[in-house]
Amino acid sequence: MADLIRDFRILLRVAWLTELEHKANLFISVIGALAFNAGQLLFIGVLLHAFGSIGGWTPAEVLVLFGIRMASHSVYAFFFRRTVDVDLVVHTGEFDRYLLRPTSRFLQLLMRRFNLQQIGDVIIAGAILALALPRASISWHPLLAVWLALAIAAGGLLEGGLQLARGALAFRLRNTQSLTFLIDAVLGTYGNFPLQIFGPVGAVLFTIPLPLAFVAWIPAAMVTGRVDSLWFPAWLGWLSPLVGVACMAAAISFFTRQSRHYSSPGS
Amino acid sequence: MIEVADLIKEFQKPQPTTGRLSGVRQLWAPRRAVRAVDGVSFAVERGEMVGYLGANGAGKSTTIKMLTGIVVPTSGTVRVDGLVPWANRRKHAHNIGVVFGQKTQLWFDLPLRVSLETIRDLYRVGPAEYAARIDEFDEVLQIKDFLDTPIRSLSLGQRMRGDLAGAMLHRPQVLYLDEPTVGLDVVAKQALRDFIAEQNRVHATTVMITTHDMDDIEQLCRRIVMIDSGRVVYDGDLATLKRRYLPFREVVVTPTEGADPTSIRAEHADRLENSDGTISLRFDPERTSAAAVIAQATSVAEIADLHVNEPKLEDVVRLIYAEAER
Amino acid sequence: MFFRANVALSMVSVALQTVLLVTVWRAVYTNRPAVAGISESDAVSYAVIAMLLWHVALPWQLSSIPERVREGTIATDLIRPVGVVGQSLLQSFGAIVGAIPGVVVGLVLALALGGLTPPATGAAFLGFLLTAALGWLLAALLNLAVSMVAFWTTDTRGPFYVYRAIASFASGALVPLWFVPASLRPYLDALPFGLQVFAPLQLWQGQEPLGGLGGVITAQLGWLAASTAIVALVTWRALRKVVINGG
Repeated sequence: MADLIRDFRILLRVAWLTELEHKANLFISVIGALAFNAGQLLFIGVLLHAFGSIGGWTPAEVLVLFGIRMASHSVYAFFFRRTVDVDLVVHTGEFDRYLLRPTSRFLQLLMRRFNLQQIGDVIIAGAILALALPRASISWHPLLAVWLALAIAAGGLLEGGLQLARGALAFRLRNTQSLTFLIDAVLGTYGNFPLQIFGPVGAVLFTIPLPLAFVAWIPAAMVTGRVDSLWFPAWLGWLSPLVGVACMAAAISFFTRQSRHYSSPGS
Repeated sequence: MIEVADLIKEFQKPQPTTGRLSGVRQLWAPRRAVRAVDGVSFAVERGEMVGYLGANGAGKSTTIKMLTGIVVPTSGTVRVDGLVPWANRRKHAHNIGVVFGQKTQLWFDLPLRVSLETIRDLYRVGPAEYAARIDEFDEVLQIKDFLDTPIRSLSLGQRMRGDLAGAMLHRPQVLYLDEPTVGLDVVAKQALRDFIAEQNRVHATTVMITTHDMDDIEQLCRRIVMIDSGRVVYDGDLATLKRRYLPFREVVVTPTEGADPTSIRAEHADRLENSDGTISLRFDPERTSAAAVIAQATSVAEIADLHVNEPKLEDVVRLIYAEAER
Repeated sequence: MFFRANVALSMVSVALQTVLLVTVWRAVYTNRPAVAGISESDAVSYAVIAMLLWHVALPWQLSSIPERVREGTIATDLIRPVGVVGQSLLQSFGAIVGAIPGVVVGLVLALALGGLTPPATGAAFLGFLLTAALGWLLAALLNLAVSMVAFWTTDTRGPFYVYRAIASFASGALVPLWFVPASLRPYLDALPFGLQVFAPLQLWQGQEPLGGLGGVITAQLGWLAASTAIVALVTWRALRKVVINGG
């Protein structure tokens, strides 16, 4: 573990220096993140304005859900974004390098770039949560805040794990871009809504086969006290961060196993 | 140091799919098995310098990739210093250094210095040893001249020297080189060869080099392993290789203007008239000597020039490929 | 192959969005007969058709001009007889063809879910088709103008996202403009985007947008003229810049 942390810091330095070379424009990234999410935000905003609630959740509660979803997505985007590069790394042979060094392959993949341009997502997420949380009449407790942070981190791990598992297929497939898009699309399209609006069948569908619920819906329900919207006993909801952690752990193991099938390009 | 036994690597080439979501549908496409390496065995002792030769597609690169742990074999065993490359990855990585002619392992946008420092840290080399080794490498490779230049701005020769320094920074037991001199100018090639020879001499680094450059082989390798269609077709030393496949030497004589070319001949030597007017006298060194041939050739006629040819490695290689094809 | 993959992906994306829109709109309407004078079935139908119209007007991939600028291959385009603008329009038309499977998927799904209401009258439908087509042309020209920005910036994604956000919202593609707070309406009506989605859909539903069918078409033609001028100006200046840079 100590090795891992040390390697992380070594690779972080190179990634940071490389990022400086590229002179990413932070301002543009914030504007970009805002504009990218503006569509959904406006949609939900107007709906709430005209109808007062969605699925029985008050505007503040819906915004808390939105904020949590954005926050976990930015955790994913900031730390695990490079999982979308597995295709590239495997097909150009950059993965050779990862195999030759005495360092974790997964870590080298994640650290190939410092995802400074994702800062915009982090900032917007923070802003939305800062606005929404006070208005949602939550009975605060230090442990609840800690749990929320864990849940957000776990949401990022969940999305990262899904993308990593998809990336692991790149060792066998030529092109996993359609799957990357699919994961992004499902999470992005449905992730911002309280999933009870899909009815009991839909809610189950988005929990078990498609683990969307763990990203934002369940954490939001637990934090705002809207556990009546969930289809399972409330106490289970507190365990939801475990799903994200388990997903990432499974994905890392799957990735490591699949890398045995790597056939490096070039003669 | 390196033990390879019955190494086989089969690739499953999927039939190409087209149409909707072909990237995903490829998971179910029928596959064809292709054997890139088909039962390769050899052993390399510590401190040996081995040239690994073969035509493109013969299985050289795949073998090296299995030795370095990049690719996992279908069957067979590999042990490098007792370790299985893909099973004891971390420890094995400390034992080897690899240089690819075609791709760099350094960080493209950053100065060489940063790449070397990062490698130093990843391999846990101490600062004192690092400084000492940089000094040592600089003597032959002159890397201090371009330590602060980003890799993307280096010439090919400089980049190769940088990669070599990076590969040797942690003093690995084994150094693998994959086509290291391709595209380099004469000075750079020589610097690389001198460096490799020195590391082998001083630190008993085991070296395995794949190359098409015969000068690399002549200068560095005493032993050759040749692979064709995934199988070893020759494994032995260079001199024997030449003797076995081209067991002759040649005296090439340029007769003076007006001299009678037919008078240039020697006993036990085959005579060949070349299109440029020179005469080649081919002889088996077991039966006669260069001195005898020269004496006989020059005793009768006047000659303007002569030189003695060793069998060219290229010709040897060509012969072996031809033989293997049969 | 790449093109086919895009088509498949866009079909999936449309399918996902159709299910979402029908579900969300029905959910907010539970236990309500009408809000802002609009019934549930009208709102659901609007949402789906608007999304499909938008899908055709603003396809997944924007013009390849930005990439070609960056790679320098734009120079060869300038030599071709059709010209950069012509090429872009052709590409946009090709994109429509690529978007049609998505539209079909969306319509089929929406019908299956019972989310579509038919046009108010035959004439309404024709009015819808006409204004939708003009609206598409307008969108294509505006998209082109925005992608020309590539000549001045290195990052084209930022401006494009901003444009897409404003355009999506103001066109009524995201949310019918009936539900937008009244204070915002004047600003949105001043923009051309509403003419691309909201106005055609109002006609479909048998409502009378300001000035009726004639009014909408006049406004569209006016904006078309203006945007053609903008595109011409931007193209001219962009080409000058490329030539000066020795591109």
